Amino acid sequence: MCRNGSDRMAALFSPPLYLQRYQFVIEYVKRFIPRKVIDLGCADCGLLRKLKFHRNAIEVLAGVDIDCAALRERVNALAPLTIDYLQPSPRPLTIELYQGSVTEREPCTQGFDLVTCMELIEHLQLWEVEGFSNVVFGYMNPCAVIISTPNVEFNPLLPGLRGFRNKDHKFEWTRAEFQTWALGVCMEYGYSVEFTGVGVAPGQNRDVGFCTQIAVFQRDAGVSNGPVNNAVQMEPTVYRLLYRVVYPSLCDNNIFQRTLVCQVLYRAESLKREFELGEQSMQSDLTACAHSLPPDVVAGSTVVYRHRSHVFVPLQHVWTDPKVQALCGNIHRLRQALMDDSRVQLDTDRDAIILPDEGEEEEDEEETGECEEGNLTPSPVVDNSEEDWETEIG
Amino acid sequence: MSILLEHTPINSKSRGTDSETEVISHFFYCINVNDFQVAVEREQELQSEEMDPNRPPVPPGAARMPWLPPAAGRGFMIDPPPLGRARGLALAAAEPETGRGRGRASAAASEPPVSPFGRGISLPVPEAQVGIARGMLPPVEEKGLGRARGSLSTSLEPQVGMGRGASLFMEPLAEPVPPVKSQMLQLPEAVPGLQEERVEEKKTPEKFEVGIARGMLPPVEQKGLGRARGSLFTSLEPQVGMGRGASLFMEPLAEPVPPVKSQMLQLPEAVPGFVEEKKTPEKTEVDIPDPGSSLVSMIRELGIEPSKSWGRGAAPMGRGSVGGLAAAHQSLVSSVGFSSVGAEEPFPEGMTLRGTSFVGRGMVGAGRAPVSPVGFSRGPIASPELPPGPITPPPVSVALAGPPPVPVETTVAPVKVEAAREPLKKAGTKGNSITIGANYIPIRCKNEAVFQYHVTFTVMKIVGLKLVGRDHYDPSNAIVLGKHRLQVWPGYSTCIKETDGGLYLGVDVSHKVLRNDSVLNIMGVIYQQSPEHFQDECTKEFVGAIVITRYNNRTYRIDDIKWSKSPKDSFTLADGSETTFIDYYRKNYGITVKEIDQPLLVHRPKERSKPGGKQIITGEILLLPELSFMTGIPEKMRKDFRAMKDLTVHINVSAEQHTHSIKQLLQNINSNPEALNELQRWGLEISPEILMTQGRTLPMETICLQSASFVSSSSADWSREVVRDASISSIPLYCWAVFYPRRAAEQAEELVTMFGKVAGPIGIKLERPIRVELRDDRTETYVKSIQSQLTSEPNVQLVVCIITGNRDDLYSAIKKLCCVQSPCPSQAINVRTISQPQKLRSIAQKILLQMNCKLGGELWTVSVPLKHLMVIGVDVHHDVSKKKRSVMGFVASLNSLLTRWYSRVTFQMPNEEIINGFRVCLLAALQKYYEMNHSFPEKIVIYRDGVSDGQLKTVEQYEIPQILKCFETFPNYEPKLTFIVVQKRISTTLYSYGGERFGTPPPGTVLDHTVTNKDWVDFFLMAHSIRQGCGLPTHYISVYNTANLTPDHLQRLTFKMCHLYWNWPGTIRVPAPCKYAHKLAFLSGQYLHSEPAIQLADKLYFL
Repeated sequence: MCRNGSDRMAALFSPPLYLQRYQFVIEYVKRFIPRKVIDLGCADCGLLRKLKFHRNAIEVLAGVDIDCAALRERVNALAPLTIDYLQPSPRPLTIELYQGSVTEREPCTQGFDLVTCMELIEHLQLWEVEGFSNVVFGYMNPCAVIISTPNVEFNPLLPGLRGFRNKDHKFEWTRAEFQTWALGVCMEYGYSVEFTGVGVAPGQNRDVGFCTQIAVFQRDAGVSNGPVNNAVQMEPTVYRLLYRVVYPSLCDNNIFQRTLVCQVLYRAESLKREFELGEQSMQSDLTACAHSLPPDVVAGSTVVYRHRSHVFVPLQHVWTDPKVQALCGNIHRLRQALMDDSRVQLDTDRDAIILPDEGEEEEDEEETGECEEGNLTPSPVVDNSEEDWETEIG
Repeated sequence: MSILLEHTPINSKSRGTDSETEVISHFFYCINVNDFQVAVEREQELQSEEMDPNRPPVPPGAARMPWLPPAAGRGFMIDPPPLGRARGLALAAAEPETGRGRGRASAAASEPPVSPFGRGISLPVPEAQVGIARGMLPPVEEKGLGRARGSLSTSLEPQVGMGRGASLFMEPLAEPVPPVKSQMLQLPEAVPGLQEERVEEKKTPEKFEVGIARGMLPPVEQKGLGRARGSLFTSLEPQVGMGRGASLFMEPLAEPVPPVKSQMLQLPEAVPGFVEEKKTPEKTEVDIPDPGSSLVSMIRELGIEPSKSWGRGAAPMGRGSVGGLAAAHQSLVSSVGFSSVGAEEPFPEGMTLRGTSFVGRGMVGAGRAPVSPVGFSRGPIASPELPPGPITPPPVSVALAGPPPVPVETTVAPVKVEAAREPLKKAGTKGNSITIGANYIPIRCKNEAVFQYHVTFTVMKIVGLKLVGRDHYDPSNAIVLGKHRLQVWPGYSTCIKETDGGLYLGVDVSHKVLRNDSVLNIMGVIYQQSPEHFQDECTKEFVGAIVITRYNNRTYRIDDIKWSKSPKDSFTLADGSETTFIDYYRKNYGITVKEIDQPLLVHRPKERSKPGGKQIITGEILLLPELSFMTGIPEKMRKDFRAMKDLTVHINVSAEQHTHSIKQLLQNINSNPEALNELQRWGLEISPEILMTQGRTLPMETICLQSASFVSSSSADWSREVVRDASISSIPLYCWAVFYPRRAAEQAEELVTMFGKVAGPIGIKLERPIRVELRDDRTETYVKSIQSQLTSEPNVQLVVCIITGNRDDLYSAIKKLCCVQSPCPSQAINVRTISQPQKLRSIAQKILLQMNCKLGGELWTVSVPLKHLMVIGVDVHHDVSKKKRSVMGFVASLNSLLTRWYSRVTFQMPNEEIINGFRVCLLAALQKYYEMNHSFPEKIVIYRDGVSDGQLKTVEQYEIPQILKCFETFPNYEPKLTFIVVQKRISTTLYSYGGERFGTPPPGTVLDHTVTNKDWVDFFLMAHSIRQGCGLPTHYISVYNTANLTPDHLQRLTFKMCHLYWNWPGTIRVPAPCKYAHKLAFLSGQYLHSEPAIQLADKLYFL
């Protein structure tokens, strides 16, 4: 994606044109909910960074660029945020960056739902475009492709522009040229295409078309997606993998379990605290203390109860927590999940969580931190000769 | 160092057009400020590859010409230690206005010596510094014209500058020290020559010496362009200049050394030699009949060179270029070696210790002179003072740009190192040697000058750590405390430290507490708990807290809550358009704000400019509670002992775990090819091992009670002894009152009974108290009862309150009443503390001791072999929400046993100088001391807590003179003063090492070298005994010391003071007066919100 011309166009478009292109993709993703998206010519990963936030259902986000330095530049911005660890997303997300050429066939790039290719083709030599079409449509064969390129008819409206918009552009197409190519691709690889664009010309010059012309290709129905193995992370054979990050998500069993246990324990602890507070107020109200109910009365009960030095919190109660419900669809699944977790102790019927009753065992003293009992081992091994620093100072 | 720090930004601004230069000067900035913050910012700012590590350290040729001059600066940077020091001090003493002032100050110095020397002996040191500083300062401070000039003078004849420093400094000395005088006589030509020339500039040089003097002169007096040229010309006799310089400072020391002359003879040969070498590096031998003229032409041609280039001191070539001087050096080096050695000998007798160290420094500066020829060789390029402008470098410089030969480096280095280490005497000798480790990782840096902080950050990221706030954490090893809805991320806080031992990566193991709840969630909980005080409670909970936002990794401190605002409100974007918060987050981050009626959190950034000075960040940042997540330990949890235990189990790591974590990090770095590659790109090598060195454990102290005395145990704990034998003095309690709510009646009764049982051995006479049972435990009930009791019975000596639960409001009310309104010592006791019968005895003993202190009793002491001593502790308490004033606690000892303390509190407005209040306190304490002892203290030792490294200079330059002035209030009173800064919050950790295992060092472990500060006399002392966690020493910096306490005295006095905190029968981390001052400031700031009654000032009522 090339933003070099954006200085010139900044004055013309607000928001800037490149943001409008991103926005176009974001809107598309919102509508069609792709799961795997690859951005060819991703440069500084601007689009990927946007899509990371507007991911909807995206589970794999990949970027390809031939320029390794450009890829590396902002790579840290693709890393998970602190919050991604604190509140793992329910859906998985993997972000991968490859260095490689879009005219080469890389197995890892197959099986994507959406390929975006913003302001890329004009950087290829004209003779390479055919190879590119073959790789993207013939080999990668995604469900949908979004390709954008400058509309050369618009150029006269750009102040002070001579030649192409960027000196690395090898060609810039008119709408007709672009459409001819696109329709040819559709014929050859079995896609249908719609043309649109971003960057509307000001005033009466609308007939020149959009500043950036965009073609959205949809693979014709009936042509099946090739063999897709989502589960296995493949290592690239042609491209070079520069970066891969797997976001924490609830699909990771460990993370799910941990999140669930935390939520359950938190809920159980607060129920226990309520229970204890109730006990205390009972005690202070009726000085005759109401001891814990005999266990036989409450076995299988749905209230929190105390037995010996433990407090029992029924699963039923924990289940009322909406966050727990959101994590496990039903109470059986909850029980199942907690059964083999060492962090949670269930009673024999697996109906209640057992929490230790810590009582009032340990107290800190007035001077916390400093006051602690230490073992005393007197060792009178000191020279205790009379000193006088005054003479030493002189 | 601080000068560099102050001035580099200016330089960078002045050279703003040259982005490379600017970046480089920022490196300087980074190097000099040991400040993580800066580094982080740098890292964020410079993330884009502005700085290319692949850029050749030595400019390859003409194309790189602008890079050449750095050599000069580099030469300067090579040995910043002595330099920086000398400079800083000179400034401190003689010219507080720094930069601009330079011209004036040096002019003054160059005039017939009356004015500078008129100050007499009292200022010999500053004078000397001026001399030296003068030599070195200019390059640093002045940009453009003046700067170039400065650089010229220094670089052309550094020895002269130096020499002058030395001689200048000799003169004042001459008076008190006869032998020196005689030495002076040996210099008759030299010194008069100097002075004459200072007056008469145009005089033709008759001798070499004079010539030199002249060479040195112009830079002093001249300001204009042409003049500076003149100075250049003068320096055309560089050999002379050199020779002279050498002789000048040689001679005083050289008495026994005849070869000086011969050296002078050597030099002229040497110098042209190396000049030539610079010009045409490929030639090994050049025959130049008139080096002077070649220089002239060189200089002239170079005159066009933009002077900007100078500040590039950072250029990596320094060392190498030193090498370039091969020939010249060999001869110079020898003389230097001599001079720095010699420097130690003649002076000490006549001078104070401090003086000596300065002399040492001065000489080091001088000793360094030979290195400056580096500057010399390169200097001309940079020198010309033509107004800055983009002028193409002349071709001549190309020849000059040749890569200098490196091999000589080794010969130069040792001399330099030795000279640099000598100056500050901070090593003590007392105690037993012990092997200790520290969390310092040696870094080898092939080109120190371009060392950059951000490298370490990049590396941290590469090994998979996440930056949160300022430190890096490892979320994959997070400890999740589900019960408390928080996570603890283990991680590291790193910083680069340039210490006496060299360059280190300081790694501390740190933990970040992150909460699973957003601010909005917590607001919800607060609302459920107390809907009526919702806003107040929220303010209490959130203001001052640090939040992290959900859409980026930034952390913000909450300064306020805007209840009137909501996400529906709009704000202006950078491009001028308006948008609502809801839209903003939806559009930019795809976040749908769920609660549209939440208030907004306000963060007010500190007003500061981004590095580079381009943009000033001001105004408020508004955050959505829903999208902000709390970090740090929740306030409620802090008070919950049990919950804290869950947490501290993970956070308090043992020494073994600590070192393990650090080693793990080092291993991760050193086994990660990408990380290694990154380091290598910058010429860095991080040692795989932590620093191991030798420390000492100070001798144990003897604790003295009334009649019993005993040697402190190895665990520094005497809790048994203090309850077995009588305290030094006890106040009999005839009339005291106990207040308790009805439900605590039983515990109160048991406590009073227990008091009676344990009071005897301690030596306290105890009558039965007045018992007041309260009908409920409301705050008003307490306050009213106490008040009426105190009015009806004015002789009440002590108020004891038994309270239920953790109740800050009640505690605050009682303390306000008893410390401010109706002054009376008071003791609050939480009923839970006295509810366990099996512990009651020891609790009662402790409380009784505490009560005795509050009444004015004395518990124990240690012997301090200094007479007429006053020890003062100062600490400042800052209110977290910053809305309230800061409070300074001040505690001063009143007797020779150090058992009577006088305390004061002053409140200060934000930005108000602490010193104002300090004056009042100090005067009051001195008066009180006089009342008790009928004399003033002769020595005053001040322990000042809470001064950061960056503020040390301020303390030295501003606070100390004010304190000295304070003494003038009393006629003929000039006490000796030692001012020690106490730093607790440092990242240094010490480990003991034995049997292949790391542990915590025993109490009294001191480390006074290697990891110490290059600029000050300082040491690390671990006074307390550690039962869990790591050995965190306290850092002590002697900022001022006219009491001439030796390093041993400083260390041992400090350790002794750590024994005297009566609330804890053992050693503590800081000197007792500091701890007392802290307690007092905390009580006043947190609970009293006003100054306590003066009637209590001579008692430790705040314990």
